[in-house]
Amino acid sequence: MAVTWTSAGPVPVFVATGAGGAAVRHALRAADEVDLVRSPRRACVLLVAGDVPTGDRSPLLQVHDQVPRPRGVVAVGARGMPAELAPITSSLGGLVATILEVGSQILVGEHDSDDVLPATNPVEWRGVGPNGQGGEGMMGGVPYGRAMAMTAEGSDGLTLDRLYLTLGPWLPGLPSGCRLEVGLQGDVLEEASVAYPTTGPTLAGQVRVASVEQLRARTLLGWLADLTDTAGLPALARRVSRLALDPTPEGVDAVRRRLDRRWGLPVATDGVGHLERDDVTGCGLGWLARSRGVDEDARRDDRAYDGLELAAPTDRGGDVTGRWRTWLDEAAEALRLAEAAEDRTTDRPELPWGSAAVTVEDRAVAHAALATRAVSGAELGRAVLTLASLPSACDADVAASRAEVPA
Amino acid sequence: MTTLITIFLVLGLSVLFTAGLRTASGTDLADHITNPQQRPVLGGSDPKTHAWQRFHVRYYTMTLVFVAFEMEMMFMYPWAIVYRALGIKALVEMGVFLVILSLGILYAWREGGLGWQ
Repeated sequence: MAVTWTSAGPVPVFVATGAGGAAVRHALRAADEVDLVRSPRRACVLLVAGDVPTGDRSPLLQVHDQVPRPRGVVAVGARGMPAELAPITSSLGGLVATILEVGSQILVGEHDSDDVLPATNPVEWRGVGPNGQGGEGMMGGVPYGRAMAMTAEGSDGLTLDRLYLTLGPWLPGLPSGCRLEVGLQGDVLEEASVAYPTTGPTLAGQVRVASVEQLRARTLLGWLADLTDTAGLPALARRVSRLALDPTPEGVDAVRRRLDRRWGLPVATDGVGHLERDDVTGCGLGWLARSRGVDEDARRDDRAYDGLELAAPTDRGGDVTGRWRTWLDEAAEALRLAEAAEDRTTDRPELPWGSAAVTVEDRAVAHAALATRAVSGAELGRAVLTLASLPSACDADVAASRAEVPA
Repeated sequence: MTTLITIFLVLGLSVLFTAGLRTASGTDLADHITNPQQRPVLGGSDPKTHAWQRFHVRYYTMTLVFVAFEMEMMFMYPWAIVYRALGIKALVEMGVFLVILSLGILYAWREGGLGWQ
């Protein structure tokens, strides 16, 4: 039973974040009344925030059924929800109140969302052999429709069983909509392939420079909050999420000082997910190129930025630490630019996740190739941390229910 | 006789307590876990292979650290007893032994065997 004595405290919520749902995740992480859990098994409420692509609907149903009953489903700005689910829709402003209401109804047995997938395995156990495992010894056969792990030679020269998995698209820690296909030996990714969604926010006509820079600060700080949470520092993640919702230069400086402490985030991120300068040059991810000191920035040629004195990029090193340090640098500068830009406008800005001149599809392909290179041969924990440091436009702090950059 | 009564009393209370817990829970959980809930949490995806496999723990780095830090103590206790009798010769022999072990520790360090996870 999902209802326990602990349910009287913060309501445990599992957030399935689609494109445009990042702001919802940060708002909930910052709220004291809600406990964001990292597994549907620990949740009472499934919250769907942002768009649900067609290919991700079936995985969402599995996540729904993995939340123990009685359960509730709440949706915020979720377009493309599976027809099988009947969520309670809410606005971002009234979300916490809605979740508390659903949580209390679950407690008194007045609310439940039925299972939508078959309760029994649709593929029967077709095992042979002394233990029904499917073949001779421990090898061969397809019990329950899935193959037994077969041996393959690993990077350390030992030949052992290799486990093939797909992580995502609704796994906390991975960027929204990201899928990581792996061939694991122990916890080492002997084979890896990353796929990013080919949808995301687009630019709609003329936008204010101040709005774009505010969006940059909120997005980069939001990415930092998610990375901090993935690294196992939830209290710090909550603090950074609050800052991402309402960024200030003083707040950015305070977070930077906190992160510079000796036993903090760098312990987890130093030397992880290294990318060479050549890897990140010309891939359409401006911030990533700038994190290696490559001056790839559409703002240099944008007349709207004339006289605003953009800082030269600094090579922060190619690891995860270098990337989150770049986010802090760029967030601080974005707040300065937003203040100085007054009412300037532009139609081809450098967006927080890359140049507006690069198509979403091209960026997704380049992003996936980079991420695959960065995680290949890594241990699983380090690979997840690496992917958390390579978020996409789908994790931008663009208001849920709309896919355009705010004008 | 009193001991026997105590044993039966404790046994009876244990059975009653267990039966009470099972009744209070109201369900036999094993019968109510659906197929999706039996699946691993992978963010909506299914594993392509069964998890019934030989997990590659990479014991060899742990073995190296174990030999370097644990086995040396096995030799150092008897060495400490005869140290006074053998004098400087014992010191040199143990020094050589520790240098060899230190090389193993350095190798484990380089391979990431001492990394915190």
